[in-house]
Amino acid sequence: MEHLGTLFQLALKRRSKDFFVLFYNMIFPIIVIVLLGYLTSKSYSKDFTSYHYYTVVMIPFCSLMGVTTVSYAAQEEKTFKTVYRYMAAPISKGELVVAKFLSCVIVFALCSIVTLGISKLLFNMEFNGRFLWIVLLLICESAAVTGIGLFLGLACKSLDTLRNFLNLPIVIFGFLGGVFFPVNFFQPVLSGMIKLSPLTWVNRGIVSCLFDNNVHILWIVSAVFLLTGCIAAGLTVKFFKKEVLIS
Amino acid sequence: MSKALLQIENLCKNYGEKTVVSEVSFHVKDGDILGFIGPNGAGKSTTINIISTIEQPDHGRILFQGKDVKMQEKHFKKSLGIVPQDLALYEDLNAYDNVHFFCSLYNLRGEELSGSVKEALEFVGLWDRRKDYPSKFSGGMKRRLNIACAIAHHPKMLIMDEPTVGIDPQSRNNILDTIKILNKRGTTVIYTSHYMEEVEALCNRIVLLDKGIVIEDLEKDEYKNKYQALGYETLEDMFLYLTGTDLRDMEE
Repeated sequence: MEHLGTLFQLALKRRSKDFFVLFYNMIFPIIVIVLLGYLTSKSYSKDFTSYHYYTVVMIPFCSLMGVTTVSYAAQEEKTFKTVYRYMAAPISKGELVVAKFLSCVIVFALCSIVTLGISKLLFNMEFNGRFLWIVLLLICESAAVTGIGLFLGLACKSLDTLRNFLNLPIVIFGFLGGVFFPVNFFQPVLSGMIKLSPLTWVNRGIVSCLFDNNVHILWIVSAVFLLTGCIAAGLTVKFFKKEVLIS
Repeated sequence: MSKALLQIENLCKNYGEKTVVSEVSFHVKDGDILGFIGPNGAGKSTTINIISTIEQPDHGRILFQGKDVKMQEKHFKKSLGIVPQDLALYEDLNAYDNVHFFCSLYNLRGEELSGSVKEALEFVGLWDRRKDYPSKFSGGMKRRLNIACAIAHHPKMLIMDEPTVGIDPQSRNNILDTIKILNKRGTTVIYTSHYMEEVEALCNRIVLLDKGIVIEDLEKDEYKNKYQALGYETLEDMFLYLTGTDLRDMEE
């Protein structure tokens, strides 16, 4: 891991200037929170406003959408044609993947935290002293998003086709998780489908943490995200395909 | 006679049913400038990729300084510099940072690193423009920066894949002079190009590949004796004689 520092520094520098990351994880969620919050403002109470609801659901959703961005970031050496230098240099696949993983997690998590902070200021959102728990969840979600994005970008050869359909399941997860409006089905099958969405558990975790003073769900969801991210990163190292970058 | 620095033995590579490289064998001696030539689709790029360890052969092996590359991959990679045909530069890093980053991938640190970066940029005549971004550079300057990124870590062997494509004669001349100086300093060069006059002027040995097979491998003097006696005065004449005049409109 002697080149990890060098690779990490460049990756962090590039990610922190990445327009798509900054726009879709900071500006876009704020715009959507303001728009949807305004449109549904009469449906919520004064203590828990529509802006608060969309802050809780929209930031994790936009973070999850980052899977596509990370999959592109994974292949940026292909875009810049620098991949030949990387492949010929005495660096390992592990160093390359870990550098990308850490840089993406840091920048994605920071974007989500800044957005959360902006929402707190703009909409007077109260976290009841549990802000850091939400931050922990968002960091762990960033790890999962990055791990999956890197796996798709570096280990799947037919990514170009896959990428076109990638947003579809995320949007469905978003719908089932109540990102666009609160959903609740009494029919068992539909009710079961809601439970399949990771965003359902993220949102339940945040709500329980903030309003029921219960961090149990949030803790489990964070652990699952972190584990998913680490496993996906490990699988990326194992199944890394050079031809994905040089073809 | 100098020893073989690199020995290529019976390389084979297939993509599905298609054989791209078939039993390719040749060697590169210490101090050579080897012209590795062939028409489009001959298998040059695949062979170069295999030598650079970017691709794995289906069969065959590569020896560097007498030892199998697989047994000493890290040492081999440290001894190798690559000048890809495409400009392999980060547009959002200035010239200095580009060379600095790629050089740092070869375990150079501190003053040794900054000294090597300065030396490489001075060598290609870009030290005064080190703070400029590649987007401000002409085609020739970008090509020279591409070379600086490959030589800053002082590789023992340099692989140059068409380094003079699309540039003016002045820049081309400068790059060819640079290669000669590097070679005099002890760098062995594998040089691919479609400009036969360049190869003729620069290289002391020529390996001609066609349809994945080495069809000629000889010293410059040998080629002159062998082919000029047959009436093929230039390297291009020999190239066309051996590979034919049919168009090669195939994908690389």
